[in-house]
Amino acid sequence: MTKNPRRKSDAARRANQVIRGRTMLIMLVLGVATFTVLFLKLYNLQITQHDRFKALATEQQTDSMVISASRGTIYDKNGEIMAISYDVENVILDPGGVQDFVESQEQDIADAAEKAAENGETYTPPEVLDQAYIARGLSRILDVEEETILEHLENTANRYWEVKKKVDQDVADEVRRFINGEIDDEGNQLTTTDADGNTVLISTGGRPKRLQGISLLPDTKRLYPFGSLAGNVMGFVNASNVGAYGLEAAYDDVLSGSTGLTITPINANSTPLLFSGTEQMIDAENGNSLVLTLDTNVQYALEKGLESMLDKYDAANGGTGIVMNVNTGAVVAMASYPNYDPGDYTTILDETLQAQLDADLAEIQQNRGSYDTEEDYNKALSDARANAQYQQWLNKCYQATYEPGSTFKPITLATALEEGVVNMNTTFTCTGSIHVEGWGKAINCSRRAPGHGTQTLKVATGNSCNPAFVTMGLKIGTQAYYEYLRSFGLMEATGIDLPGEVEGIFAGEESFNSNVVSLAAYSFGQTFNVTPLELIRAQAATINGGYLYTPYVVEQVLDDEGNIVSQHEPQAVRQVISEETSALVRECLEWVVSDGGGRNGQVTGYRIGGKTGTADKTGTKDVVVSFMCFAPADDPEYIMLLTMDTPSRTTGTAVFGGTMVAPVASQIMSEILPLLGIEPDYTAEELVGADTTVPNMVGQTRADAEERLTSLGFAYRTVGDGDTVTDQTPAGGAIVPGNATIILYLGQEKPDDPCTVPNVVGMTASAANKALTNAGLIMKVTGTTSASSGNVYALTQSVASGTEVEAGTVVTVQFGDNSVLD
Amino acid sequence: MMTRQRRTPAAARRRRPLTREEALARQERQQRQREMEEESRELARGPLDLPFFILVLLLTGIGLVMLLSASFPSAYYETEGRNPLSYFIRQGVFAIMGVAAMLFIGKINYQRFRALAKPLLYVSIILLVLVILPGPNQYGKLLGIRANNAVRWLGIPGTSFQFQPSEIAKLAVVLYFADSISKKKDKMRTFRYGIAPYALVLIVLAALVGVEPHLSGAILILGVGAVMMLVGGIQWRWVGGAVAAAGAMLYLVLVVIGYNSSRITYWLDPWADQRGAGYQLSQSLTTIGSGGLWGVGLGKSRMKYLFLPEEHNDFIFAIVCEELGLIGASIIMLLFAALILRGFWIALHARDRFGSLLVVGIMTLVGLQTFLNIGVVTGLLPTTGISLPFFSYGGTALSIQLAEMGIVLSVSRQMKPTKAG
Repeated sequence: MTKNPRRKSDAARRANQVIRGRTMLIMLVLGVATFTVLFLKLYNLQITQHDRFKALATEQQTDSMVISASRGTIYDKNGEIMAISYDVENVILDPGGVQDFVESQEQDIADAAEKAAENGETYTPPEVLDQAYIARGLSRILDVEEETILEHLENTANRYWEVKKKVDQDVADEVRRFINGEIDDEGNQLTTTDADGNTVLISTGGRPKRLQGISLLPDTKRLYPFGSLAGNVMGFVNASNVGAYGLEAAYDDVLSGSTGLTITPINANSTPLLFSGTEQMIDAENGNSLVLTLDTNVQYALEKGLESMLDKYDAANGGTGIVMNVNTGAVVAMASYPNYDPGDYTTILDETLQAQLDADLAEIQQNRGSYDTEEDYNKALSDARANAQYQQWLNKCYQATYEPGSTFKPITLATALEEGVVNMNTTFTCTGSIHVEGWGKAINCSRRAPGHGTQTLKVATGNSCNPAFVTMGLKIGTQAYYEYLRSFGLMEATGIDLPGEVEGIFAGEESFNSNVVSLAAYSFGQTFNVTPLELIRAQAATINGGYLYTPYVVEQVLDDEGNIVSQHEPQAVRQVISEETSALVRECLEWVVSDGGGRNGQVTGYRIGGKTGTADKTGTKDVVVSFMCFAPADDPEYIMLLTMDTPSRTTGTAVFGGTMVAPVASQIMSEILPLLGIEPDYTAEELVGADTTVPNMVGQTRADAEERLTSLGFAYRTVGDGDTVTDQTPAGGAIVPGNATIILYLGQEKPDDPCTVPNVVGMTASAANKALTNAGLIMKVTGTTSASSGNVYALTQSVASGTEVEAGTVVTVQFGDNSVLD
Repeated sequence: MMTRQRRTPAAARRRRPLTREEALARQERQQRQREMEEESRELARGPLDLPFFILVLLLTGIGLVMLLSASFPSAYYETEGRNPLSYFIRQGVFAIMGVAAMLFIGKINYQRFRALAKPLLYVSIILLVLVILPGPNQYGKLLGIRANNAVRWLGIPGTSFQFQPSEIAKLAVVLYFADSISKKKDKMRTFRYGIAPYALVLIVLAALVGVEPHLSGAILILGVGAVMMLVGGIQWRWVGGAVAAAGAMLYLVLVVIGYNSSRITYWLDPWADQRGAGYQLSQSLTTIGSGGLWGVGLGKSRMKYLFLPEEHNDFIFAIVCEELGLIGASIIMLLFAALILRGFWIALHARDRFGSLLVVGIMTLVGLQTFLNIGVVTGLLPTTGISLPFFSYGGTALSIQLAEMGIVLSVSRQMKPTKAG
């Protein structure tokens, strides 16, 4: 440039300089500055905010589908299924999708019509499968109001509406056929299968038209095959299959398992991505199953007995019943009334409760004016309904407390014996009432003046004598008594594996110790509250050798292949009283049933111990009647406690535990003890009866024969339905035990199949009797049969085992106490 | 050149016989002229600038690969799986044509383009008028074709060929301004010669493009024109005035005019209406952000599966960011920056003002377009339809861009030898 200065004018040089300088400026702006800014922005998005955007992207790019785990099954101790889940489906409508579907059909028709018009053809538009069609079809299949469906379909902004939840498979299949166009809205079959196996329309042979906007989603439903049986123990699962009450709630984690997940990459149309093998799967883990300590047969007997009692005495507030193994705490049966069906938990099952609810609702409706707003009024109504539901869902065995009354006396008795303040020879004198220091009024005994007079400890227990027990309590003293209440586990929850357990209500220790008034009342079971479960566990401890167990209902947890995951190992919480004291308590309580106020609780063939109770509900005139019993009395295995809240006073039966509850307890025990494997142990008297000659009744009328046998003390059964006795077993003139069963044949021929004599040597009297009776023979007992020694076995039998004899033959079995031989 | 020299008015007026000195001087001048001509021809035969050429090929190649990745799902779904490569193949054909055009144009002495300056300007004005002319076709225009609510395309009746006249208008502005400004020298400082004619051209073109409406096209035309005027030597006060005026215009257009105000709202907060007006930007930000430092891997974008609209088009850079991460995106931005810097370096070393201005204009187009596109995609700037050079799908645009690169290469062949090399 400098070489040829003339070549360029000054102006040109200046222009070049300007261009050069300004080009550099633009160069820096466009080549450096802008990219620096862009880099900073990118850094912010890709590094600083990366996590946020990554999450957002992942959320929209993946479709996760939950694979539900199947909920475990609940079995009773014999393997009977008490709760099981099965597959159902939910029917879902997408109102927006239905609208799109209808519009696309209309568009297709318009297009086809236009095309036909262009070609000069006539066009018959097909029926538009519209909202009304879908509503009609679903309404027919699902039994949902057509108007309701239409109403929801109109709200096209909505994309999800559950038409019906938990529909059984057959119904879901019909919905599926409706969606696939195989049937129309009225259920008429539209399609058939052609030669190639394709589903084609009958009318045209074309493909059926699939409905859009209806879908089916899998779900599960809980089935309780026994209905309301043990419902208050089972609890229930809510609509989302989550345990909400009872066992289902307590063991929800165990039962529910864990849901699985499939994660599929999708595009914006929610269809799986091309070439993506990257589907992730987390397997669902099925829930574990439970094996309960409950026995449905025992439960059934308990509920049947309780229901008949509550019904007969018109109990206003229901009742409870618990059967427990005294040596483990295993709950064999547990019932609470009012009860409900876990499969239909919102329906009020109990008539009394329903009547009460109806009355409450009527009252609210009558006082409608007193509610400020419609909202308040509706809330009152729904609260009343909710309260009734709550009442029936409650398991009063451990979720409600009551004043136990005299059934509590075994605790006082055990404490007094253990503390050594009384012994079996101690006597009590009852004048019909007793005064205690600090309490102005006399405490009455159930037998008013002149009272029970002078009684031994056993007799006083049998008499349920309040002054005697107050005396015992005073001898024990407040501090020691309070300690025992604690030690018997009454002041704590039992720890049963069921949810929502409540605790008893007691006076504070200081206030209890400050005077003896509370002590006096506590001694016979008044002025404090316990749950029936707390009480039965303490009662069990008084008779089982003194051991306090934690009650439980789940024996085993099984995985979904049936392997045992865990097994309950019963362990005593503590020993409250000594074995010796416990034996004495048993003796006293057996006396209660054999000779005292619990006589109605006797069960033939069993030694039963027990205690009655008629407790005042403090502050009301109502009572809770109850009865606790256990068997066998000498070596207890099972204990039962029944309560009935507020029985009617107008049934003609005196309102006492001994009169109302004990007979039912006897009935229940006679049914459940054999089920629980405790064979009756008949006393000699019961078994021997008086040997009696069987009269010949052939030719007599049925009525005469029955009357004759009854008067002689025989049991009998009839075969056939004639009016005249045509034959009998054993034959007339046979000498048999007075309690034998005579068979009368009325027109029907006596079978002449011979009976085979079983071997009974070595059996107990009851087992031998059972074996012979089952074989169609009659047992005659000889020898020592005193059952109290507990060591009586058959030594010989008159007819050798394996011999074939005529039915009704008397087999004489000699019994002896083999222990004396040692 | 010779003929032009003889026809100068000064030469024509001088009719008297020449003195000896004068004759000698003239001879000397003619000799020098011939030398210059010779020198010029030699210069025009010089090598094209290799770094620039390689950068163009690199960006075109990478752009094609990214287009293949980004467009694959769209093409797949649009052709129902028959031809997932449809976009890529079409773009590839244009790329090959474009590279051929670039090499061909690179061989031409760029001085010849001066002759094209005015005709191209007139042609582009006519084409722009044709686009907006009402008529009987299905879009209510004579020849214009509507896409995305704007008539920006011109179709040749009877063929499927269509192109955007605004692309030609941009080149016309660059050519005309370079030619005209290079002759003005000091006069650029005046309003009459330095401002008025150019402002008039810009206003006419921007208005024609703006009413399509094609806001981004108008911005580019105004931008490149303004930069060339600035480089050409207008007074700084005009620059200041223009910046103020542009600011005022921007405010008016963006805030007062309705169709753009919601654009501003959803630019500032795209999450407010993620499923509606804010969808595109929020999806774009999600796409970019989810890439992270290293990206999800080439070809592994998830957002291209119909989530991100215009993913093979204006928003292709978001897919680049997702697949290649900050690292890959930065490398590509570095390539762009290198191309632009090398371009301006060529401008600084161009043989004459025309060459400088020509390259400045073309590189300004590339630089502005790149900045605006990435700015829009990252949410730095309000959304407007602007494509990324060498990357976005669009055959004519790619061909024209490569042709423009050819012009730069043509200028590079006549660079003065420099010490720096």
